[in-house]
Formats: sequence, structure tokens, C-alpha cells
Amino acid sequence: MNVSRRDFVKCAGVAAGAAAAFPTIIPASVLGQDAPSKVLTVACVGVGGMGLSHIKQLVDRKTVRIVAVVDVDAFHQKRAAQIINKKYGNEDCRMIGDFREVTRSKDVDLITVATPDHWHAIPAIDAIRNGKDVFVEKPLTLTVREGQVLVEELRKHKRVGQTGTMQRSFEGFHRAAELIRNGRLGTIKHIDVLIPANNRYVGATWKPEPVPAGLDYDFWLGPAPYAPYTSQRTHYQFRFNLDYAGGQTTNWGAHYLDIAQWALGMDESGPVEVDGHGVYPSSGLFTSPTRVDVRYTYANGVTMRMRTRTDGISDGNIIFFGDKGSLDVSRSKLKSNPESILKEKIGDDEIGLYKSRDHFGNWIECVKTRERPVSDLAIGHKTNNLCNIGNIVMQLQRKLKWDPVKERFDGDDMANRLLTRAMRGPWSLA
Amino acid sequence: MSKKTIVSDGQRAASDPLAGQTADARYKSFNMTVDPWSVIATLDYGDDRTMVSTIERMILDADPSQHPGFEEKLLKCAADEACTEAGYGFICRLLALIASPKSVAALKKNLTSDNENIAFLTRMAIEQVPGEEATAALRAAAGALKGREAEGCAGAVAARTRAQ
Repeated sequence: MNVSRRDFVKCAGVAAGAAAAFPTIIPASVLGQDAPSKVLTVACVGVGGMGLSHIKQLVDRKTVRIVAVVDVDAFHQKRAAQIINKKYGNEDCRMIGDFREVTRSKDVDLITVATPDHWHAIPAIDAIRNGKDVFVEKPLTLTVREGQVLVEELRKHKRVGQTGTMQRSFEGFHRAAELIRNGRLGTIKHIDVLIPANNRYVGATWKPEPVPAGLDYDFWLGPAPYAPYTSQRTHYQFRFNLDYAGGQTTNWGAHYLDIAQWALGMDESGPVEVDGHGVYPSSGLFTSPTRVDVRYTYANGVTMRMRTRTDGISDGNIIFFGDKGSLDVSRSKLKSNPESILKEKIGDDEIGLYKSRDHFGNWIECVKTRERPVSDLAIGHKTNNLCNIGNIVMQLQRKLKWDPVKERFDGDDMANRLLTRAMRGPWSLA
Repeated sequence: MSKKTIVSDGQRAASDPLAGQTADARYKSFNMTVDPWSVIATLDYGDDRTMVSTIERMILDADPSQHPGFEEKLLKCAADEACTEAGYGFICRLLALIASPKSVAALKKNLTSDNENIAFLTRMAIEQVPGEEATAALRAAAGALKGREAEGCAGAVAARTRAQ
């Protein structure tokens, strides 16, 4: 039964005038999807560092209400719930250990996912299959196959999904991409992407340690292979272990390769050749490359090289080289050569790229309009493919042909086996 | 000869394991190092992986024509009764890259191991093998397993069908 918000609050004895001053939190199961003032309920899955950032982005909005936080670490749950409860002036935020309690709950409309990478796909897919719209952090998935299933399910269930590649909602990157798409640099020849070096270090050996109280370590491992707990394995450091993430290739590549794809108009495709020469640790807990060096070639001849920067700067950088000039863009700068390029205006009859200046706001708006958001999951998946195939060719140390539509390597069985991996029970992509 | 050259008296220190041996034996030892293949079976969680990384690199760099030979060596290490869980895991990760139906035949009994970790590590290798032998082995294991590996194995069969 669909009940309008006004009818509901009348029955509850609240004056319509007063109700107009603040939204009443009513679960999606009661209100119709198209009620314009409906406040959407959100559950945040994964509330460590990045998850807290999600909460801070959402908690001040009047259009959503965070009703639950999910984490396998009780400390993270409590910290996140305290922030939310303080903001809302109550103790209502639920603290949950198993994401399925929210992805399958009729009282939750939206799910955000900010878990370690090996835990991105499964909660997002479960949420989508249960009628929820999702915001999934970058890098979208751990493997190419996970991304394929995620996008298939998104479309099948007609959900709205945003990737956390928030640079698409930054003015500088939008401007750069629009200038390039409208030919202000001429024909693009080459792109340089610099990404930060690893910022955590471990030795050649490690020792198993007792699992700290409050951490459900087995759930933290989830679909990843078993390995004894050691403190440098979890939380921020997961990024540098290929069982859980893709190192800086995905951590930062997901941001800057995304801008390259956008500027080149390759959101539904990708490069056709990739070559990698990373440097890997020969031992120790961390298994991701300590030095990234990947070269991509697109079908139109554009080349792109992503490598670890050596100047100590902890941000990425992307430089586009065209036959009429260059553009150098990062989160802190936008420079062109010649400088006149940045003064160019984009005409109404030219290509106007999707404009968003609020990545979470864009997602929420699209949830209501059912339009695709600026970083739709399919776009995030194509970008993420560049990261994952980059890691694969670096491991294999060879140049390979890539079919960006079929999403397979040509003629290399070993490389194609690395596009997917087994998941520890009970988890699967089925 | 440079004045800085110090000519050895040919005698090794008393603490040297090779002290007192004849010149021929000492020369032979110069050409011997530990066989990394023998290290795999003794690998434990947290150990230095430098030695076994050389095997990983050999396999990653190998021509496909060399894969059957490496597969056989890996299966031999896996069959070693003294093989540790961590060593078995290392072997299965490499087998995942090159395994053929031969690995399915050799390892399928481990899909239903009482040790959940061994069962999953085995599945890690076998899931990557294309073809009906692997599918049949996974299906049979899913029917025989209990607990979460039963679900994981069944899910793997379903996911495999979906991918096809």
C-alpha cells in the first residue's frame, strides 16, 4: 500500500505545516518510490577510514538518513555510530556485523560500500539483487569477472549504482576532459599518469598474531584465502596485498585512469594493448608492486603510461599531450601549454560532458530520477579493467593484446586465468 | 699482481663447514645451492618467500610448452606428505595459472578434505581448469562437502555455468 507522507503524519497527529519543516523518516516499504520528499534510508557497509568519509558526506543531508553501519570491526562500528548519533541527536544507529542484515532489509533503501576491495562485489551485488541502489568505492572490484557480474546485475535489476571515482565531480577534471573532448589540444598523442608510491613498509617475514578483540577476522577475510592474522594485513594495509586489493595500481590508478578514459571518450571501451614492467617484493606480507609501470595503447594510436612517481608527492597527476598543446591536471592544479587553452570556452553546440559537482549528491539525485549517475558502475568497471589488466601484465612482464569489449586477452591463457579467482565458501558470484 | 692482493693460504677457518675438505669437494660446493623446489613443501605462513619466488617467476615466464613439466613438479611437491598448508597454498596458486585436467585427477580428492583450508586451496587450482573434468569434480565435491565449503563449491559451479 502506498501512503503519502502527508497522510501518514496527519494520522500521527502532526500538523501538515510542522511536517513540512522537517522530514519524517519513513521506510521505503511504506512510502511510494516517487514521493518527492521521501527521505531515503542508508546503510553504510565498511566504516573504516573511507567509510567515515562517506558518513561525513551523507550525515548532513536532509534527503537521506543513515540508519545502520556495518563493519567486521566493532571498534569501527562504534566510532561510526557515535558520529551519526551525535549528529541526529539520538541513539538510533544500528551497529551490525553482517552486511546481509542491511542488504536484505526492507527498511533500507540505499547501500554504500567502503570495505577493502575483496569485499566490494559481494555486498553490492547482494544489495542490488534485493532492490537497493548502491554507491561502491573505487577500485570497483578485485577482478574483472566480479565487475562484469556487478554490472550485469545492476542492469538486470534496474538499479542506480555510482562508483566512488569522485574526480568526475571535480571542476578541474571536468574542465580538462571537456577541453580535450572538444579538440582544444588537437589530436591526443600520449598521456602520462603518475601515481604515488607505496606509503607502508614491511619486512621479508611476518608472524601470526592473536586476533584483536572485536574483530571478526574470519569475516574480514571473507572470500579471500585463509592466512593467519597479523596486524599489518588488515585495515589500511590491505591495499598492498594482492589477495585483497591491487596496490597503488588500483588505489590511485582507478582515479587517474578514469579521467583518461573520460577525456578520450572511452567509457564503453578501453585500450587494445597493454605492457607492464612492475617491480615486486620477493618476500613479505605485501605482494603488490613497489614500482608500477604500465603502458596502454588504444586502437586510435593514443598511448598512455602509468608509473610510480619518485618525487614523494602523495597525489596523482595526469598530463595529456596533443598536437596543439598539453594539459597537466591533478587535484591541486590545472595547467595548460599554451596557457590560452584554459581560456577557451566550450560552445553550446559542442560536446558537454556530464556535469556533477557533488558526487554523493549526484548519486542521490539519480536514485530519485532513475537516471545514470556521472560514474555509473559500468563506467567504473571499464576504468577498473585498465587497473586490473595493468596488474596482470606487470605480473607476467609481457605485452598483451586486450579486447576491451569481450574483456579478454588475446592468445594468453595464463593472463585470462588471472581475470577471475576462486572465492572461499560460502561466498560466490552465483 | 697488485700489492693489495692478499693471497690465501688455502686454509678455511675452523668454523667453516667445509674446513679440512679436499680441494675437489670444496670446488663442488661452490656450485651447489638449495633447491627452491624442496623449500616449497616446508614453507610456513610468514616465512621468507625469496626462494620460492624464484619458482613463481620461472612459471610466470615459462613458455606454454613448459607448463606440463612445471605442473608435474608442482603436483609432486603437493603430494609430499610433509607439505605444509602454506606450501600447499603456494603450490595451488601456481597451479591455478597452468593446471590441466591432470591436476584435477591428481588433486580432486582434496576438494573434500576435512581441512577447510586445504579444500578451498585445492578448489583455487581446479576452478581455473577449463573443461568438463573440472566441472564434474567441483560438482561432486559440492555434493559431498558440508558447511561453508559446500556452499562455496556449489557457488563455484553455478558461477562457472554463468560465465559460459
